[in-house]
Amino acid sequence: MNKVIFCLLLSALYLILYVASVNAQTMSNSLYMIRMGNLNSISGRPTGSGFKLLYTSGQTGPGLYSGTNYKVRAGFAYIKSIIPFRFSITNTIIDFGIVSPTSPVLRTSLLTVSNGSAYGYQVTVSDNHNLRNNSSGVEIPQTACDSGYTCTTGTANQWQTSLAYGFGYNCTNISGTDCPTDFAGSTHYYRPFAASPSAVAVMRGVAVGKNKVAQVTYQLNVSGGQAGGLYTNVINYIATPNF
Amino acid sequence: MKYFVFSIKILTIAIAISFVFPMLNTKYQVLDTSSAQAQSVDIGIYPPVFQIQATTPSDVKIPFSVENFTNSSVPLTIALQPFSADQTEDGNITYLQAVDYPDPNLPERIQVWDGDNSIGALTLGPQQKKDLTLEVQIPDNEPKGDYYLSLIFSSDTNSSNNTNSSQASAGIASNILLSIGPVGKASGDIEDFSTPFLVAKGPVPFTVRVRNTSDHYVTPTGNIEITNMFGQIIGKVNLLPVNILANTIRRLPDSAQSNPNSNDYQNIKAVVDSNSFPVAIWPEKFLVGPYTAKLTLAMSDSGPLFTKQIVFFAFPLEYLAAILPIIGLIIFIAVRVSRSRKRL
Repeated sequence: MNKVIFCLLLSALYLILYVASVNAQTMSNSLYMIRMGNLNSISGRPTGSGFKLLYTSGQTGPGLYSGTNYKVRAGFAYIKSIIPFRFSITNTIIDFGIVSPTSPVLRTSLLTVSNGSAYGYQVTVSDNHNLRNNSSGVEIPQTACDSGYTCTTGTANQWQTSLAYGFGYNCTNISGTDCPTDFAGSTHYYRPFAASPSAVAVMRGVAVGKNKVAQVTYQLNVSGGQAGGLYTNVINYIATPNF
Repeated sequence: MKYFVFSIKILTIAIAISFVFPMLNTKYQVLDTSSAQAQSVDIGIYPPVFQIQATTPSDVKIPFSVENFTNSSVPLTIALQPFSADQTEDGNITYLQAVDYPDPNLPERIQVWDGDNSIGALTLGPQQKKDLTLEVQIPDNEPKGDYYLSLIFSSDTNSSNNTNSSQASAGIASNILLSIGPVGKASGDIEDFSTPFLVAKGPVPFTVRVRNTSDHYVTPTGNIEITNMFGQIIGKVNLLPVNILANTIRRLPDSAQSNPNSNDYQNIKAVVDSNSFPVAIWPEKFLVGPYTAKLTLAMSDSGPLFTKQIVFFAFPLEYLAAILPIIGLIIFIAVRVSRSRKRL
């Protein structure tokens, strides 16, 4: 019995003392990650009778690199942050389900940008093609918005009636004010998607910021004459910092 | 002897445990695969810009990293896209489909390396940060010129759909400003330096538009000094040293806007938000009388240096609205007293 207890204690001791390996410089494993500008463990201030020297190692922050015939500045000299330029989208599959004529379907995604290391940014959007039935080639057109309220890829306008058909999107500010002003702060203003390779800005920010959030609402409305089938496309978002 | 046998058994068990646990741990990591289809994408890149000045021949290597902030793996495709400055003059970009580079083949010599492998795609694991290397190979006979490209990491989409749907691809970019020289002297001019002629109160926004007529990008530095009616310098606004691409114009903001957590930025935030384009802002709030603002700008470390001066007036209308009734009342009383004395 004592042996069993002893073995269990030994096992428990092993589990407690077991440490997963960590690589130097990156200093991360599956459990945690340490991010730092310098490896302070090997920095210091060596001095002698004829010299004084400061050194650090593992610099990952905004910095200068140089080599034979070149010099590089990585990151903006005037921004001390090494926070990554970051972009997120909450759902990458926008499922419209079964679409009935003259019954608009609305779906939403949240776009979030943190540009702590860049002065200004933009998120552009485009689609690879109209919503298309790949077997027949039949497409659902982009929206032109309500009659008398024409919208374009760069200018949002009113789309409220269920008798105006097509596919389009609205941008509404959740945190920050980075949606284009042509959406007029209204949830009823829409744009059609630009077709790749063209693209238009759906978020745009000046200055440095973090967690700027916009809600994109997709609206799909088809006419009674729309052929049945499976319609799909791809929407491309690209977040780019200012230069 | 009994204790010796017992000790051997314990040692054997300990050795077995020391082998088995790491194996189990490895096995767990192998089997621990999160769902392959990411419903959300959250990615980051650092640095957001690579400013490269090179002469021939050179082999430029720069470390950078991409990061996945979700608990799902995300497959990414790497692409290079040429760009130019957007017409908004605020540092935003416009992607180009066709571009007239001095060497159309140079983008092919820009590569991303994962260790010893040149890659065009990669998959980031859950919460994984990947350190990569950007390499630009510039041969001896490379013509001089500027190249502006975005390095884009875009999430892949699932090709199979069984429902009416759109699939979203999220991409994140870092900009490459590459000057192959030797670069000539910087040149340009102040295209516009202005502010409203009459302001009621501060902060005061200054529009600073600078044209770069060089054949390479520049990073000008400068400031605005504000002088009051007595000739005293009472304010100084440092301009943010932003990049201006070759043969383009850019609006320059002030340096306080690079740190949104600072008190200086909080003082001017309302003005920043109310302007649809970048402005340099003097944060002073109470202003009276004529002021002179002098812009001094160096296009590069070696010049040229430009200066431009403007005058604006400040009149605190809000205070005037409060003071006017009092002045009116005083005048009214004075007139009444004067009339009363005349009657006497």
